[in-house]
Amino acid sequence: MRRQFTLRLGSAIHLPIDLRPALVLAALSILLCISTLHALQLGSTALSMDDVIRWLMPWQDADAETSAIMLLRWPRVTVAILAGAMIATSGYLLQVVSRNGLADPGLLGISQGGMAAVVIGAAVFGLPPAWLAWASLAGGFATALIVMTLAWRLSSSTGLILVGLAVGIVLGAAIEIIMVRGGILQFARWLAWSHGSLTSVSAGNAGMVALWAAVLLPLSLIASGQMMPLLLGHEQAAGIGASPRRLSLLLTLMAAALVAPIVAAVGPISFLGLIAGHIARALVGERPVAVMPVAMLCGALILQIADTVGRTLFLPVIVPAGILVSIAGVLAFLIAARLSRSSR
Amino acid sequence: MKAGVENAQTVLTLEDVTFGYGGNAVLDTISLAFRSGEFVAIVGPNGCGKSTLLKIMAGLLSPGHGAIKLDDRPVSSFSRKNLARHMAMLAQSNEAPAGMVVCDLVGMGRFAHEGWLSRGTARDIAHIDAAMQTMAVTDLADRRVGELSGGQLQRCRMAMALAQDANILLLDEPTNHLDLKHQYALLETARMQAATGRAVIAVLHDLTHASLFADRIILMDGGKVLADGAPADVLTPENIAAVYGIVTVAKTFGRAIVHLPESAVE
Repeated sequence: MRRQFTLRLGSAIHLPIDLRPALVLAALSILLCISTLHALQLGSTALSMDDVIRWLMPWQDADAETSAIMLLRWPRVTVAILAGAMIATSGYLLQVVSRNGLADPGLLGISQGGMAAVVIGAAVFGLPPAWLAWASLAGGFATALIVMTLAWRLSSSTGLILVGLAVGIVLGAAIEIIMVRGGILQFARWLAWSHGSLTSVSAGNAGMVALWAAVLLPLSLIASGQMMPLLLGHEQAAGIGASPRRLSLLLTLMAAALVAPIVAAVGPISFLGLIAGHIARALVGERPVAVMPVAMLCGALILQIADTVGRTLFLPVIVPAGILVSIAGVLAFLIAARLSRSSR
Repeated sequence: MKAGVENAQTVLTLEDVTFGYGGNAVLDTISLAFRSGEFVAIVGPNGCGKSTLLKIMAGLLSPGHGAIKLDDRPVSSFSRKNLARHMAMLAQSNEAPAGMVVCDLVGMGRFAHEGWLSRGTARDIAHIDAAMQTMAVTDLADRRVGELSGGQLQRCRMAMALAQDANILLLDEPTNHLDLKHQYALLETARMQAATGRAVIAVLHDLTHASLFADRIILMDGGKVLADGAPADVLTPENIAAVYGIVTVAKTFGRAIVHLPESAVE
């Protein structure tokens, strides 16, 4: 029998909470704290853990050198955590909506839609950086709607992936054409971004991403309580009282919104949205209320570790996080698959 | 025929319902009324529109013409969630993911009764437990969908529909995938649900099953209702010949009416 406890508050609130996801969440949170401390500590100039902890304590004054290093390091660490969580959420939302385990903002062309809007906005219209996230949102929304509408006509869940891939490839080509037009220097700058790199993350980026995350992540957690019927297919979902069409549209737009600020700030991180949902499901089963927060933490953990490893292990070479995420993701997936097999 | 069904309250009515894809009419001016406490079987050849009729009643499809009324209110004026509190629907195909746990699947029958911050209340649990007991799936509660046989899964899905505790039960070919024992058990459950005052409307393929368990049979052909009434009045060799295009001999065993092809009997 499943072990659970219940959160009760008067007669209005009655929420059963399963023990297993709660434990998994606690374990992942601890891991994330540890990896965050290490991420802050490690770098081209490594700090001592004492310095890091002293810097984190608001009532203690850190020395000037630590503060200077941290000023560069904390935005990057923050963005890695938030971006990881948001991309993972986006991927899992799309997997539920399309009922296809391969769905991911990169595979469905949504990231490319955002990228295209960012590139066009920055290179052609000279948009200021603060507006790029909104451009990315518009591009992501438009692409999501086009892909969903086209796939609706094909009316199969494999159709969605095929349409997404096709749209993504076309947009990718368009993005490269615009990237190349600006000369070699600009191209080099765009290139790191187009593979997903946290190298040039600023405190402004971190603030912007945090703002979007503060709205969208809680919304996603709330939405997860209404998502389970979608797993039964549209017909049965409607039969038990859900509104699958409206919900699918809302969740798709939310998935697009979740990657919009990330695409603008650090570029697309492919594969993370795909793998984090799978890891979370291997750990806690199929209930969206459990999978969603676990996927967020998995995404945050993977991206942060990938970024820390990428910028410290192979110095002086800095490997873009996007590339290491693929490797870290596969490793994490294998571990999760092993864990779920041994415990069930 | 059960006494009292005639005077029972009409819960669901269809008035001149027409539906079609493109130019082809799938349903052609259908008018029907369903009363609480009766088990109605909808039968007919493949493609006669019986599943479409069920989906129209469930509000999954909107009719091109005509109206569907639930307790004298148009179905389209109900929110999806409110409608699901009055009407449960068991879809024909299962799409539940293999990793889903059975008690979660059955528990989803309570979705329409849940609030944003209120889930798994004592009432929910009572309905879920009762439904699982009725469908004899209590032992499967911790199993995953992917580990179940087709029949076990179908019983779990039926338990989900029962847990919904709705006054109208729409079943789209509920005996699919079931072996003989569980086919009869499911139909018996459907009849019991009707006996407790629910309206049970099922699309069935097997005419014998329909005659054995249903109070009333609706025979459809080409998007129209050809006959509607007590099993003995509907399942006549003349009607069968008109709809299925075969000549049959009808044998009766108590309530059951068995149609055998004339050529095979001789």
